[in-house]
Amino acid sequence: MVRSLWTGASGMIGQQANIDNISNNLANVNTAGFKKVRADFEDLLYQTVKTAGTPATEDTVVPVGVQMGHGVKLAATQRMFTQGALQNTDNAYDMAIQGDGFFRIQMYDGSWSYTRDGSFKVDENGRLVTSNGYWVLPDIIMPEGFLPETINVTKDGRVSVKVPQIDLNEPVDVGQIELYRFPNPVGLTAVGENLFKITNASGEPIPGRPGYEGMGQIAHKFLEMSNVSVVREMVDLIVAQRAYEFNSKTIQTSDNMLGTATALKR
Amino acid sequence: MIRGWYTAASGMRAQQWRLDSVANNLANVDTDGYKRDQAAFKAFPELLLRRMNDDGVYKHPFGSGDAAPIIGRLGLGVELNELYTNFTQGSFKQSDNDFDLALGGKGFFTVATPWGERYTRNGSFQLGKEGFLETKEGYPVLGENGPIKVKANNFQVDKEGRVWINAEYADDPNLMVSKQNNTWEQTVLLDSLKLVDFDLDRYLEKQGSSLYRETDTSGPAMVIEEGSRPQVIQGFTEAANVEPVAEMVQMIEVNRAYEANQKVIQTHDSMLGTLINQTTRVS
Repeated sequence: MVRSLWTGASGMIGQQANIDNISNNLANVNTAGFKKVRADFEDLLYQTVKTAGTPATEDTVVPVGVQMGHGVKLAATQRMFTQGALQNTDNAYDMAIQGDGFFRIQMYDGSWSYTRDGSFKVDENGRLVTSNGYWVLPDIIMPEGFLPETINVTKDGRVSVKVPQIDLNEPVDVGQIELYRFPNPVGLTAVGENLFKITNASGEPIPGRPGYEGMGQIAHKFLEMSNVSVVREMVDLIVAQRAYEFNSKTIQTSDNMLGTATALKR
Repeated sequence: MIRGWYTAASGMRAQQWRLDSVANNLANVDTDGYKRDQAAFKAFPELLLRRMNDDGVYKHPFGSGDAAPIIGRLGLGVELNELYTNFTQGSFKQSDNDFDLALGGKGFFTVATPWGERYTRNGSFQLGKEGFLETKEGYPVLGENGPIKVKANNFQVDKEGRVWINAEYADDPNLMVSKQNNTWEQTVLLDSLKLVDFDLDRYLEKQGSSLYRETDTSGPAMVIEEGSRPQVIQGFTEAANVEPVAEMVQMIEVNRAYEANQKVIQTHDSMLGTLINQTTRVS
């Protein structure tokens, strides 16, 4: 009896985690470069109540045992790295990756992280940075007096800009954007701010030039939208809410039956 | 009189087991590849009741013997006989992830664990950093020639469970490919998923983490020949086959049966109370 109470509780706890995860996906439905996360469940341990193969009578054995399950656990939260839709922004600093790959970002402490969010800015030194001021690697530094609206990024990541002091008609080459790929991107760990860090599970980054050897291309003046499908999340939300209710009924029934057992003694 | 107590108590215990299995089914209502458990009960062996207050002596030409005439049988209650797994097909959920595989029909994926081969219906796999197809726990999924080493966007499974790759990208571990760029010019057969079945899958032992183990009764795992394999569907997962409505109805049934058995015990109790406190009152 008390086992079913806890089994029901494990179901409720699992669905709670499921709803937490769905709500995070829905909250980030408009976050550039966001990749949705799916919660995966597995059943918990089984208690062997009756072992198969024990003697039933003198010359027969019990053919099948009784195994009672204990509920459910969250097995993994898996990030789905499918392509999000590209949205035209007409902003010269925006870039989107069409295909595989990540931009490399240098944090304040010198460590590296990776992102799909290409909504870049320029700091006071003309350096290309993220919205939070982290440097984009390899360094791309705009020359002094450049015209922001003339920035051009080719599909293979070459950045050029026009500078009136030098030559109004000949764009200046200012750098090459590199992308990085992982053997198992699902193993990356998210650290917030649209950034990912490598783990033992993701493998080491493999650098490459955009558009070559299967690396994605750069789409200049576009942003990659999140790949969250609202319809899908809504359906998952309905399922999760109902599953939560079913499990609460299990707990209620257990409680009822415990009450019944208690009422035996008047 | 007192015997009825234990009969009813056995009924209450059996209903408890049943609620435990309903609870586990409902807890796993959203678990990929979960198969529901059903409880089956059986009656305790019945006793023969004999009349004891006759002088139980019968005569025959050679003398006499003891005998008490049989007046009927007496049931002693109920016990949980087995909890069997129902392997009916679950529905398919689209995920658009290459490493999600669902099985349509009878059969299991084979997984290599440190304790030996285990079997599963939960096909939401992932790619390990070494490039092997793995379960969420990191156990390699087996093909007929061993673990399956593939790359992202270079992994196609057909309906028969055959794994195809583009050989261009097979050798160099640092050479990656994107979905758009993979032209599949040198498509080769890498391996077939090791899909197995059992004589009596009902007697497989559940291990948790969506894994099953073979038992003596289920028989050994037999690799299914091509042509009779279950359909392998890439980009989908198989939902649990739990029927919430049926489980809710069972729950109501359990609750009431439990109460009915409780009433039997209470009635016995009050009869015994009447006997002790009123019929045999010492004035």
